[in-house]
Amino acid sequence: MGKILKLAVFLAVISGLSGLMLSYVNDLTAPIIEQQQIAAVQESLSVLYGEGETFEPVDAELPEETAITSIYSVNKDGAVAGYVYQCAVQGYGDEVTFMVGINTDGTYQGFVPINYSGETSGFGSRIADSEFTSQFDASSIDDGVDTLSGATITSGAVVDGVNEAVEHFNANYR
Amino acid sequence: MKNKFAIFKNGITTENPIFCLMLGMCSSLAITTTLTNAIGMGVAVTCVLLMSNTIISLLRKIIPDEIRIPVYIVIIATLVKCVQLIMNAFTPALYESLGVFIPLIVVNCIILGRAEAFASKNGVVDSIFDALGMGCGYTLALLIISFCRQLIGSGMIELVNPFDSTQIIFSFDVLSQYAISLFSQPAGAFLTLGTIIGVIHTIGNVRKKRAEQKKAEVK
Repeated sequence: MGKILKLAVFLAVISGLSGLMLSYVNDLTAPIIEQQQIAAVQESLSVLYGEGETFEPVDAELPEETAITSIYSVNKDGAVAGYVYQCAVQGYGDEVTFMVGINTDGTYQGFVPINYSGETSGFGSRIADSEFTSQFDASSIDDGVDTLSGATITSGAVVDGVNEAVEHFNANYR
Repeated sequence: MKNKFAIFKNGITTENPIFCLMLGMCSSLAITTTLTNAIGMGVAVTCVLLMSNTIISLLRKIIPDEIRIPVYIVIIATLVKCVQLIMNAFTPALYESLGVFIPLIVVNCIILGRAEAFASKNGVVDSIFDALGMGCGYTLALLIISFCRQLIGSGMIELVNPFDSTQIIFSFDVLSQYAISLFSQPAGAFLTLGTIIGVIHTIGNVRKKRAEQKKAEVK
C-alpha cells in the first residue's frame, strides 16, 4: 500500500511539473500564434485587393452546412467594392482553406489559397498555380469555374466551395 | 573523447534507427515525400530526442522502476507539445507542412526506445551524444529515402528552406515526364525503404564475409 502511494505521488508530481511547463510555453506562444493568424488573413485579403482598401468582417446568416467560414466586406472610399469569402472544404488529404473575392458588379476579383498542405504536391497543389487561379481574373461569376484534370478531388471541392460563395453573394448582395 | 565519438557514430552507422534498429518507421514512410519535409522532421525529432534523453538521464536515479514507462511518456509528450507550440509560433510554414506528424513524434519509437535502452542506464553526457547520433542517423536516413522518392516520384529535386518557405535553396527538374507517381504514395514508400534496407544489409554482409575470409587466411 505504501509503495503504490509512493509511485502514485511520484507520477502526480511529474505530471504536475509537465502541466506547469506546458502552461508556461503556451502563455509564451499563444499571442504569437494569434498574431500570425490575423496577419495571414490580412495578407490574403491584401493579395486579393491590394493595399488601400479596408476590410471588415460581416456577420451574415450562413446555412447550417456551408463551406463559408467568414465573409469580409471590402470598403473603398466609403463604399462597398466587393466581398471576400473565406471558405474551408474537405480536399484530398486535409482541409483546404481559401479566399475568393467577388466584386459588387458580379465579377471575380481573385482567388487565393491559404492552406492546402494536405494536398498532393504536383497534383492538388496546382490550385495555387496560375492554371487554376487565372480563371478568376476579372471573369463574370455567372461563367462558372472549371476543375483541374488530374486533381479532381481537390479542385472539385474548391470549385464547390467557390460556387457556394457565389450562391450566397447572388442571394444577398447582388 | 573517443568513447563519446563512438557513441555518436553508432547512431549514424552501426545502429542507425531506421535502417538497422528499424524504429520510427511510420513517420519515415509518411514524411519522406520531399527533401524539405525530411529535414524539418529530422530536426524536430533530434531536438525532442536531445531534450528527452537529457531529462531522463538526469532523473534516472529517482524514477521508480515500476512506473518508468508512464513517466517517460509524460516527459516525452510534454516536450513534443512544447516543440509543437514553438514551431507553430516561430516556424509556421514548416508547422503547416509537417502537420499531423509533429504530435506523432510522441509515439515515435526512437525516442521511447533510446530512453529505455540508453538514457535510463547512462550518464548525461553519453546520453546527449547518443541523442545527437541517433538524431543525425535518423535525419540522414530520411534524406536518403526522400531523395529517392522525390526524384522518381515527381521527377524533381527541390529543397526549400524549411524555416522560410519562400526561399528555394535549389530546384532541379530532372525527369518529370517519366515520373512514377507511385513513389509519392505510401506503396512507393514501402518499396523504396525495403530496397534501401536490402542494399545496405547486403553491403554489410559482403563486408562481414570478406573480413571473416581475411581472418581465416591470416590463421
